[in-house]
Amino acid sequence: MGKRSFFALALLAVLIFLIVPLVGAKDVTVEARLNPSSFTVNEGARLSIVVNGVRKNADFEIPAIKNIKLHRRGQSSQTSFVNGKMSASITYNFIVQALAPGKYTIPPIEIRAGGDNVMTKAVSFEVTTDGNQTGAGASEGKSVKDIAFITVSEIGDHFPGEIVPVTLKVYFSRNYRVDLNSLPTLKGDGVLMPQLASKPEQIQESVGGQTFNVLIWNTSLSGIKTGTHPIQFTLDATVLIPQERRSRSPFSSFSGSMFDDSVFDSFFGNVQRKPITAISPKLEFNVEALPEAGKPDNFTGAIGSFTMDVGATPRRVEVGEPITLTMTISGEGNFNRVEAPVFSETSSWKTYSPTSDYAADSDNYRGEKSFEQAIVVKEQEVTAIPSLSFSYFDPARKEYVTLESEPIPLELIVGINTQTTAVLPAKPAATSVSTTDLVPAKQLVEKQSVEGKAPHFANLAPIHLETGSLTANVLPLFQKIWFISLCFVLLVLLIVLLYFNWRQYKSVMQPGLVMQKKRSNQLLVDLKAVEQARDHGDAAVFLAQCRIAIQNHVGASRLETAAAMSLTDLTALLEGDSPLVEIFARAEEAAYAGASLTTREMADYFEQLKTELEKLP
Amino acid sequence: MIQKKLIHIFMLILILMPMTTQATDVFDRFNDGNAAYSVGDYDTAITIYNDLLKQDGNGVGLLYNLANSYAQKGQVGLAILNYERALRINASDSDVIGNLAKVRKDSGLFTEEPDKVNQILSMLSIDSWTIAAFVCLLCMVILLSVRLKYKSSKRSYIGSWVSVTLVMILSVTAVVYNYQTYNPLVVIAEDVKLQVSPFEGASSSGAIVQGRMLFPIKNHGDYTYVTDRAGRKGWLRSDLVEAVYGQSS
Repeated sequence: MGKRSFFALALLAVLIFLIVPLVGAKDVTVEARLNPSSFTVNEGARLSIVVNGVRKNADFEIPAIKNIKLHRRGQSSQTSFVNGKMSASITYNFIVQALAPGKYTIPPIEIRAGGDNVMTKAVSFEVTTDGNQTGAGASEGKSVKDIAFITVSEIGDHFPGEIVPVTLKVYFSRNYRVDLNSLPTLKGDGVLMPQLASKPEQIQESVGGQTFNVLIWNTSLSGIKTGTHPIQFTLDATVLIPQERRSRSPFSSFSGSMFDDSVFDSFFGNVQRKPITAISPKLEFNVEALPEAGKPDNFTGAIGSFTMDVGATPRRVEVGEPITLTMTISGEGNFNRVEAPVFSETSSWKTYSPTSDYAADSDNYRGEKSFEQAIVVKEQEVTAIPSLSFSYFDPARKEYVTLESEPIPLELIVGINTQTTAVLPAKPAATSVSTTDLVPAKQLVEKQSVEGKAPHFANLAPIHLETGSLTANVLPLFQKIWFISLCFVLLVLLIVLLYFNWRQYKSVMQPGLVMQKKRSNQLLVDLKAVEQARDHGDAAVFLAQCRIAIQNHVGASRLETAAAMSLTDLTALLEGDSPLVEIFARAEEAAYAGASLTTREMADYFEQLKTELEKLP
Repeated sequence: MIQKKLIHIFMLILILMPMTTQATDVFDRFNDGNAAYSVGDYDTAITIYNDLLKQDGNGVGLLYNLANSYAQKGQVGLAILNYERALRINASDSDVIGNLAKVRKDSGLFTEEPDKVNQILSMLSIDSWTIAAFVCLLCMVILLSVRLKYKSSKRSYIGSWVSVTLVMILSVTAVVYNYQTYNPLVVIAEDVKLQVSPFEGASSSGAIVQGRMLFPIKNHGDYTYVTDRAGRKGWLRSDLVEAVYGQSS
């Protein structure tokens, strides 16, 4: 290609680019297309806004439509020459997603392009519901129940606050992949369920010939008010349904394109996520009121089946020595309502608040609640720890039960002369149950160490496997030499810094004092120079030094530049008969005409100078 | 040149060898003690740990294991003493704190519930309060140094000084308060009696259980005049108690 041809082509290209916008600016038309015009809530439709006659970007805004979301999916531009006529267009693509079924309209959109404002036509479309059937199951007629459901173990009738063990089983068909969105939720008033474990037991079960994956939660329910409470359990999940791709690849026109193979559908994870809610049958939870007849005074609301152990250690004490009273309630029931048997403070006993510790079994309603209480004997006459009682309601027998411990004998040591009194036989205390033949009497204080025997400690933290860094002496920090030295250094530093800060503060607050000190120091220097000149007998130097001393001392505080002070300035500043004026005049004369002073005169001048300058404020 | 280097290396090995051997020996002995503890031979474990303490010094692990051995043997006083000593080296060791609390609780050794002021002052150990006071001193030095060089706003400068001074006052008060009880005596024998006078055969004024903390007031011969947290006072033989900051036993 010759140079000329290349130049001609380049010129043509430039002309095209210059002319095209002009051409496009002439007939601008717009169009909004939606495909398809009817779709379900789980699907989407493509909205294309085509702007014809422009090459530059058009400016427009789509008005918000309730329950409709628009996702921008890019734009494409096209330029063509047909029979020497040029045409250009830009297409803006959107995906329309509906949040709820219904009939919608995309209103006319105003588009600013090529200097014109043009409007699209309104586009109407319909969004239909997807029904209760899954995408994949729709064709097979499967309902949510075929995919997931919940069963609940038998509940029965109960009392307020009673812990009712229940087993929840959630079944998921093995034919579907399911993601859990929540744990089972209890719907209904008047009944409480504790927080469920996030990792339930998992098994497989066959129901009606179909295999299900089953999640099992062992939990409990508790009615909080009397009456019949309708309840139901629900669980939200998402079913992942494999989808065939709706839009085929651009290579579809070639029959048997590899991109349309179903392998690519699964490889690219083309699945539809379908939210479902698994539900249990509707149940009734009956809560009866607790009987008023026979309710013990110390009943705190404990319902279940319990036993009680009471122990005390040490049992050989003197007045004032604390004793640890250990009360253990074990069994099954609502341990949150189990409170420590009351040991009241009397004239014989001082008591402290008990502490509690609950150790639950894995099923959460069986366990052991321990209470520890410090008690102190106040009187020498005390022989035993009195009986303690604990009451609960047994739902199986539908009656109240009171457990009572036997008094625990104590051996009190007399302080002075160490005589021992009130020695009781050290037989173990035992519980007795006031409601006959309910709970067999149980030996108490089994764990208590036998008197006089060395105590051993169970459950101590294990030994260390390293000695730790070894030091010859264990000393408190304030006795360590290095620490004392460090503190001393810091204290000295603190004092020094305080001094400097004080000085700085003083100089800022009283600048005159600093100036005064500076002048005094300068005067000493100047007088020394004058004295030296006098001793050398050099009159010219002597007078010159006198002049400098007067200028420095008198002029420094009164004039901007002390060295510029003249005789006139000095006379104005001091009284006319001041000897300093005379000395200064002699010095000025000497500066121009030379000077001759006797030793005597110099001595006199020096004395006068010193006296007068020191007198000045 | 190479020969000289080799000689240096050889000499260094000669110097380091005894230290390595000693460390290995301590480690081996300590493991022997741990092995004895593990099989329930607490007497042997105690002997080994005590030997290590005398020969090689105090370490948290060593004191803690010794305390555990005493506890398992039923010698509550010595167990508490060694737990307390371990805490003096590392006040935040959770194993030591936990076991000490358990041994005390299981032995009926309750501590009086302190009032609010005492709770605040005893919130940290005496070492921690000392460090807090030291940090305050350091802050003061820094504040003064910065003030010399830079001019900060008067309000923030005074505010900083007030804060540091308040913490300093609190720390020093706490140190002084804790100083009175920083080195308690622990009763290490059973059936210890407080006596009304420091002489053999003197009448008893009360009993003190093993593991109880006492505070020395004065000494007379082989006797120490002590008080406990409840305010009881009396004389007891000095060998029946041992100071937390003292020789290991």
